[in-house]
Amino acid sequence: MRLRRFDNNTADLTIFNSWDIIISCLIIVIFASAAWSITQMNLPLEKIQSQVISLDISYLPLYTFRSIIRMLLGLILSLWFTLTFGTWAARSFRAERIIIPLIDICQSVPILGFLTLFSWGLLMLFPGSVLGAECAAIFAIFTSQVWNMTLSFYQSLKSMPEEYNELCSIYHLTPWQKFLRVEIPHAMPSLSMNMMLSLSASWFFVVASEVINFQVYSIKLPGIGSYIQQADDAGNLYAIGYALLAMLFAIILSNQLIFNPIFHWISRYQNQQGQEYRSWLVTACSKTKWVKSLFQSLSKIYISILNKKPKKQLDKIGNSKLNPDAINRIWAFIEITLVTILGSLTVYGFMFTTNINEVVTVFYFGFLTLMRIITMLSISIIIWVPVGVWIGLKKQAPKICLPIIQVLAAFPVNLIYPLMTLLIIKYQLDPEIWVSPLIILGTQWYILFNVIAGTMSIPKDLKIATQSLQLTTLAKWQSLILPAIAPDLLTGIITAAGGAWNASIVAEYITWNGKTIVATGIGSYITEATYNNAYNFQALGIIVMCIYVVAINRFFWAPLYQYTQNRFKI
Amino acid sequence: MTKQSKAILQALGIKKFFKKESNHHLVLDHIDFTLFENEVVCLLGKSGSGKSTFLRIISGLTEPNEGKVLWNGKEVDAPIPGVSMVFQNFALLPWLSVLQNVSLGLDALNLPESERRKRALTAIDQVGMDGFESAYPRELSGGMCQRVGIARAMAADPIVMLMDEPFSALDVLTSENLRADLLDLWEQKKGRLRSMIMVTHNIEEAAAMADRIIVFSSDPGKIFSEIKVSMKGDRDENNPEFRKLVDQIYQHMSQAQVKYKQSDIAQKTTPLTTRLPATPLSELTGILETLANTDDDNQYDLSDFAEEHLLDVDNLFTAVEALEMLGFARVRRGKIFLTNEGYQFAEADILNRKKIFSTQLLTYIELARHIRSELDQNNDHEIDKSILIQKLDEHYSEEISNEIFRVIVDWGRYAEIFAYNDRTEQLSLEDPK
Repeated sequence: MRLRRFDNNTADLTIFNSWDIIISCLIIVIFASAAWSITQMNLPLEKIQSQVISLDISYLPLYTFRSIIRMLLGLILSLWFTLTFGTWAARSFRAERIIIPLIDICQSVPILGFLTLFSWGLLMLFPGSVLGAECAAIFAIFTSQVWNMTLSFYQSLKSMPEEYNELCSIYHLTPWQKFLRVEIPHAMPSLSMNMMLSLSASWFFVVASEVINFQVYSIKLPGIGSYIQQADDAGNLYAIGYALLAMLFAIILSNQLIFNPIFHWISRYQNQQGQEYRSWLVTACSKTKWVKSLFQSLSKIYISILNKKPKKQLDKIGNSKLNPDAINRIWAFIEITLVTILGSLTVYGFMFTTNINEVVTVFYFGFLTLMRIITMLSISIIIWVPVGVWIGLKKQAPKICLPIIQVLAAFPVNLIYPLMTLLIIKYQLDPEIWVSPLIILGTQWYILFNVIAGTMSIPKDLKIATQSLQLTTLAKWQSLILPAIAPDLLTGIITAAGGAWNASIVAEYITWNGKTIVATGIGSYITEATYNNAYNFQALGIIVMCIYVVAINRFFWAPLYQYTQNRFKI
Repeated sequence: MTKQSKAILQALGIKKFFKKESNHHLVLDHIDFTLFENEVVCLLGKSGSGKSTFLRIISGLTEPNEGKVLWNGKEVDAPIPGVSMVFQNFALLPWLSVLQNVSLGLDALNLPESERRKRALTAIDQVGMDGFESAYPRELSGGMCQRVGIARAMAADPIVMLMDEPFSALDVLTSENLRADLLDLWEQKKGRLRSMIMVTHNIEEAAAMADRIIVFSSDPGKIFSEIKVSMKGDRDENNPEFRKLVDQIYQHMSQAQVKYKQSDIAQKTTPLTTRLPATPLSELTGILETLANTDDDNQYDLSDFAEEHLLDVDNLFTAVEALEMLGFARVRRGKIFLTNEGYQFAEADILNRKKIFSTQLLTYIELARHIRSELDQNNDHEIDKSILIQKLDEHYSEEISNEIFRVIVDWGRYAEIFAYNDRTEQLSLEDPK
């Protein structure tokens, strides 16, 4: 190795090589096109409204790119949110008590329902410009990405070995040094996995958020989501197929350019055998000269800025001398006030904007949707638990199956809606029943993922023990597999159920080629209210859905989860 | 070390307790300690004697609840610049290379980049890790990792180096090898290094390295005694003076345990709220069998016993404590011998062993007696775990309460004096199934 490096140095005195040209071009192209598409976000509103989304395939790359940029901006926003609020929650006991329950609620609340309200506010904020709508779309995407990232980062910080903290104190690292050199790298493995999942999950929201109907406006932001909507309206199956291919390409591209380099970096220090990640991008970058030295000098500057010692001696963050009991009481008071204000606002909203019959009806609709979700969850559990266990028990299967499932999970199920619609129309099926599968289609993967993960983490000696006892298949499932995967399975079900509520807003009200298919439920209620600009009904629908979601979480899932955690933890 | 050296670090009247809602669990009780220039001090004690906590207090990492730490006469309220620490589990950051890990100790020193690099490389050289600068911790063995840990501590050019059980995560050969290298480094006295403090529960290790040994007794952690070492010759196994030193330390250690129990010659019952030693029953049985099979009047030097059976001090003294509590063995002057019951137990078959054990348990361990009588009196013959834990919580942290509970359940189940159902968290007279 050393010898070859020496040879290179003497024989080749040029400042850059061919790899430099390739990588530089790549960087320039990425930056230029990103800059261009960001300027496109501030066009006047009329211009966008007069534009028609073309179903011509030649426009598709551009649309896909615009959507990717929105997703990346959402991801950057999520990352910022994660690093600020995740850290804050981990550092401060008081912030923790507010932020974590709030994220818990946000995670399970139907974000899609809020979209129109947000775009209304944002359109007012940027009058006459499409920026408001762009912001609304990005915000919707952000909300679909951020929560699991923040939670994972927070949990990583909380679970950091105490010795790392002591190490930082004893060698007097500044809080910034600690954050950037210790805490972020420590959290990176699980954060990057969650970023990847988030990016996958947000495709669904791209499709749902690029078309914004609001009062006189009907804004279709140029992007793959609008393209799909247009294809739905026109009943063009080919266009749907093209969109599918474009997304597949985008997913592969984002993996290649973003996540593989991150995994490459992580696998250098992670202690897992056989999980060596190679990224061609990193390899190519390491072959460059000019680009490499640019990166090196940038990182040197970064480190030296980081190492500048601040004037005052630090340490002792948040060591206030106030009596902690008093602080707790103050915060408990603030919490109670917040809850009271929110609660009375809700009651006020109910009392004065709608009559009581409407409320009862909406609760009934909510119940219908709940029934759909429960049925569909049960069916997908019956299907995916055996499949997941089978994959998890095979030695080689996870390696092959996981990437495929990851791509499948990324696919926004909105694309399958037209197919279902076609079937329903063609065979005169009852939409009340046959729309239901669409609700679970996008979120069922969480069940499968978690079952696979749970099965893979069953200790090997237990597997061997059940083998040597020669248990029957039934006994083996009863005594080992089901208890072992129970906590993971439950996590998967909870996530899937949360997503299903969200999906019902889109799935219970489908338009295809001018025809509309409606299934009675709270999702279609919200969507219909949105189309009719009936905001009080829309708000009512969302509030009722939130009540369902939060109540089920608090009184059903949380205790059940606690129980399985205690009972079955290996 | 002839002339009396200057004091560098002083701890005065240190008290530390871990807070709980209503009460405090005392970890360290009134500790006075002075570190002088040019000495290696070993803090020796069972785990749970608070010695690691004490190390963190004198480094400024943890604040004591009472008392103060003085560094060159000034009170310490934050980690002291000029003190480095070597950690038990190395605490190397896996995402940094060896070189980066070592320079991390210099990051806060505001040095020019070239100087930082130079110092880091020198430190890596000193511990014999040159050639590994760009390796990541996962590529290194445990011994190599700890070398990097020591290099990181040395690179910061400390005045005092603190070591928290630096060799306990390593195997015997590796740790002996590393210990010798560390002593070489110490003798060369590069830079500002004046003194070292090492926490350990390994008696040989303390004997091999220390100029002064501080023996801690546990619950609450206190300084039991101090042994000054003034050996001239080589400190190795063959040197009789060294063997004498080791025996002496064993005696101090066993007395430290005795004193804490406040029991004299007559066997006393163990009060309700005593912390029960968490030694697995199989280990107790093994030790009893071994002792019963010795030739000379069933008596054994603790130090020999530990060495022959590869028990570290922690295991040894915890086990010995359990045997004494149950009236199976006694320790006098660093020697352990069996009681009649202990001898009977070792010779009995499985069923009789259970009988003997249950007699001893009900005779000497008040907690067991208490549980049994409560069970007998209760109408449904059941007690909730929470009730017992509550009782113990008045004296201990939750963790220790749970540990004590586990021990008594373990013993009680073995002796078949009560049953426990983990699902319902209830103790009962009869286990239905």
